Amino acid sequence: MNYKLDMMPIFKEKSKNFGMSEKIKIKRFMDEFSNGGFNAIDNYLIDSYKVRNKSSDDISKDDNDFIVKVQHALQHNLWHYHAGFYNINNEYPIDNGYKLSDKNDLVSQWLIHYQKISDSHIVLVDIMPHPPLNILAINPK
Amino acid sequence: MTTLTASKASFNALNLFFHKVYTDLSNKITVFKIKHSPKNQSDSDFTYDLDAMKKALSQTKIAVPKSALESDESFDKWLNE
Repeated sequence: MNYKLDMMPIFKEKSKNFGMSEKIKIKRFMDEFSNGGFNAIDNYLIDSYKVRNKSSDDISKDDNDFIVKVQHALQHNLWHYHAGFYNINNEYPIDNGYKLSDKNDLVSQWLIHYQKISDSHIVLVDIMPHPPLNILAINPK
Repeated sequence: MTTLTASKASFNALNLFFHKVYTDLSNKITVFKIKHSPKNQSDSDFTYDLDAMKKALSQTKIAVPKSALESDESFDKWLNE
């Protein structure tokens, strides 16, 4: 079966600025999809634990734009996959970028956002930390 | 003394009444939230940058050529094209 993989220019632009270790993890995700489609990325295991991959309509109820974001995610069929970048403060030791969640799957700070067109076609949209960094909230002290 | 006892009884009655209303409302709100939670297994803090996502989705997508995924080096090279 042929799998179709597209990418938004901003995803490519951001990806080229990562280190080789992060680029390899992006490629690993793309390789998995290219070889097994959505089912492969939805069931990818590291150290016997599943990497979290889920629909982006599951927004925090505390988000001020809860309804708009849920609708936007559903309208565009947005999903996100935990990318496994950076073992920040040694809190993400698994595969040097993941930690085990209370749901017993692997989560990371960085997410690959993508649009699921079908089980055999996705578009990589953006790649961002989670939660999104708010520079204004950073205390200079 | 009689007045004080009556007031206390009224207070207790009111207190019980409001406690019941509060409990009922709390239960209803909890049920409402659970019923309206997509898939009933919400992450506690997931969100995304809506403006950034809209901007990205407004772009014209590009196809990833098979040659880009031949090796880590070819992928890096393609990213930098």
